[in-house]
Amino acid sequence: MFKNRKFLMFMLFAALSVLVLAACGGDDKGTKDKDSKGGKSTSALEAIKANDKIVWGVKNDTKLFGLKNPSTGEIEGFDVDIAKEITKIILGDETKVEFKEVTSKTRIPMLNNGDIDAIIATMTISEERRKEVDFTDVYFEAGQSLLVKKGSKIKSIDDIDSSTKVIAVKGSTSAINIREKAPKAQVLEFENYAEAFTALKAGQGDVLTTDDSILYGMASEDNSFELVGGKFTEEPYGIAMKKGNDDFVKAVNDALAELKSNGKYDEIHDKWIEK
Amino acid sequence: MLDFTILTENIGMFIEGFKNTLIVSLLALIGSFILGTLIAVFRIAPIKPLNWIGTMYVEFFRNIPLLIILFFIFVGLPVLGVRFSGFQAGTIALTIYTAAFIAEAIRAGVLSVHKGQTEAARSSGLTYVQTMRYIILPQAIKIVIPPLGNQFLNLVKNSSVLTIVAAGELMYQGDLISSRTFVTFDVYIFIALFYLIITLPLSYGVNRLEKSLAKSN
Amino acid sequence: MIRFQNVNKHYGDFHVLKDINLTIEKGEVVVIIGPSGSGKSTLLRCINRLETISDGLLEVNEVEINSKKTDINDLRKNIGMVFQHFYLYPHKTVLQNIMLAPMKVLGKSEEEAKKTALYYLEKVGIPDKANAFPSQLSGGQQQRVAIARGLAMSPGIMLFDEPTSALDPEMIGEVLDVMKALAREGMTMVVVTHEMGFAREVADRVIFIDKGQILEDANPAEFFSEPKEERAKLFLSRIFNH
Repeated sequence: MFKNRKFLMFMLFAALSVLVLAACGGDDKGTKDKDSKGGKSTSALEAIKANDKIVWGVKNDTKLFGLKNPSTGEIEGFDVDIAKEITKIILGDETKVEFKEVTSKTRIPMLNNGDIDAIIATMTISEERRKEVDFTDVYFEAGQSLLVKKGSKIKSIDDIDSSTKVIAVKGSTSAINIREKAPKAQVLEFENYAEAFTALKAGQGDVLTTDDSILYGMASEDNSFELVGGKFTEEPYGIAMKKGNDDFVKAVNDALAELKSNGKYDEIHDKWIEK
Repeated sequence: MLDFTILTENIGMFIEGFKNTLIVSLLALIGSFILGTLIAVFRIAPIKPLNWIGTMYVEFFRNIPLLIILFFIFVGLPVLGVRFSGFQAGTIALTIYTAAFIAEAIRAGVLSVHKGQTEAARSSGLTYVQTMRYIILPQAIKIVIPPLGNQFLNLVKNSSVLTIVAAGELMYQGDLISSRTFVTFDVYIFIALFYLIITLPLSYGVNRLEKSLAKSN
Repeated sequence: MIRFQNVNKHYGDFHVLKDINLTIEKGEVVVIIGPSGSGKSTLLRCINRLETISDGLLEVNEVEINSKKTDINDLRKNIGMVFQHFYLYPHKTVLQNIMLAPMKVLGKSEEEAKKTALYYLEKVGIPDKANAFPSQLSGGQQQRVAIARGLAMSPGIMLFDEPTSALDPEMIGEVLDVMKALAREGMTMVVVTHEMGFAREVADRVIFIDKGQILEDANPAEFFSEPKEERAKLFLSRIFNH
């Protein structure tokens, strides 16, 4: 009897500690809300100008968009160059940037707790995400596609059936899309693109799906793989900001428009995408 | 407060993950106990080449990260033509990794039994194997139970690493849910609760076993 | 029955046993005495190969102990051993301690082994402790159980390694009494001990060993009244003046 009571106490204690933890989590959210309310009095854009720096969340593992150059330690790619040009327009100097490395999983929490000012990390604009963050205008038109080993019997999305193992990345819209477009497929989700591509190369899946922009990067690295079937979704990439920072969104949109009109955008696009 | 709708809306995924974690843990627990005992025997047996194999095994596998063993089995072995699913690779990696620690726990337990016990048994004509079975192991098990329990608890928690090979266990399902809903914190708390459902009874059972064995002496 | 011929043993650089020559006949009771560290326990432990010899010849019942061809487990069946610290199996009852080897080594049935065990427990005077665990017994009782455990294999030889050294003084007598009774029944016994009274009363021969060498090999009356060696004299005077 005594022993059972002790066990019960033990369980109770464990449950309690979890609830306390949970309560702390709740508090956390509360303070965040207060912060964003307070943020309205001094706008995000003013805060950034006062800080004289924009902190961008970028990918570090995505070829062509945001990839860490191992020899320099710098992150390079389309997203990075666009971020630099926008910073140049807003703050007058392209060196007033700081890049923080994010993943699909960490980018929204990092934005919301103030670690970064904006996300420019191959992020598709979606309705679900709009509930969490604000997006700028589209800065890149990608579309989801399929990467397979050359000679694969999969030629398009219609060839995917219940025997097909589809590799995707955790938290990506492509992982959700593929379940809609090919509901029978078995979807395996990996931590990042590198692991996903490694899994494909090891034959742990038949096809890797994500935005064509990223797949082109993979295919350029290992030419025994190829894209098939063309785009089957529209994946408009947007830059994400914390909700309610309208003036910052507008400033970035203006900057984007300027880049497109003065030819700078096409220059960067050609440098990375259309080789 | 905790967002319980996350739990109720995704309960199917949580249950699926819980089921897979439970199965992986159970398989790896049995597997690593058998393999670990075998390696311990290799290390203790009075046969030099077996000692070397045992030592090499332990020193190799307990000194590299589980993550790397797992990744090697998942994407390295296919190069040699052996392909395991994430679930299988995870079970194998956990078994191999944990066995190294279990072997050490068992070896330490066996060595802690006084040498005189072996001498008394061997001088009465019992063979080495009989001495182990009837005299040394029954005494060693009492000493080994607590560290063994720790290893089993670690095993259950270490199974969360399997998320990187999409093994479909708790951590993987949690990652999927949190990456879709963006409420990472709450999801991880629910995952922690599911782990507790496995680890607390295990922990309690080990304590009970330890006490009842202590009493029997 | 036991024959040492030019036996040497080294522990690394340490020369533990030096050129040992010794023959023990069936039914003899031989007591080995000597200062601590003299090698007397090592000598005893070589007889059932708890220690291996470095060179020389050691035979028991005409079987070479250290030959690779020898089935040591088979040989040990015939040699019982009693240790200073008893080494009873703590997780087994007295009865189970005694029954284990007869069942597992000799293949006796449980019934038969139990009968034998009870017989020897009776003989060492503690039949009422059959179902006790070793931790519930006094030192003297534990050592008597250990003797019964050795006897249950019906060995031709019994080795005793300082069987009373770990006992409280009031318990030494009960263990020695059992050993004396055994000697009278004609058991071949090799006993390492400091109990000079036992040696004088029971032994057929006393072996004095120092620094790994056998210095005296005589009958007890002779040895105790007029030891030949200076070191033996010194040893005896130290023991008796305490």
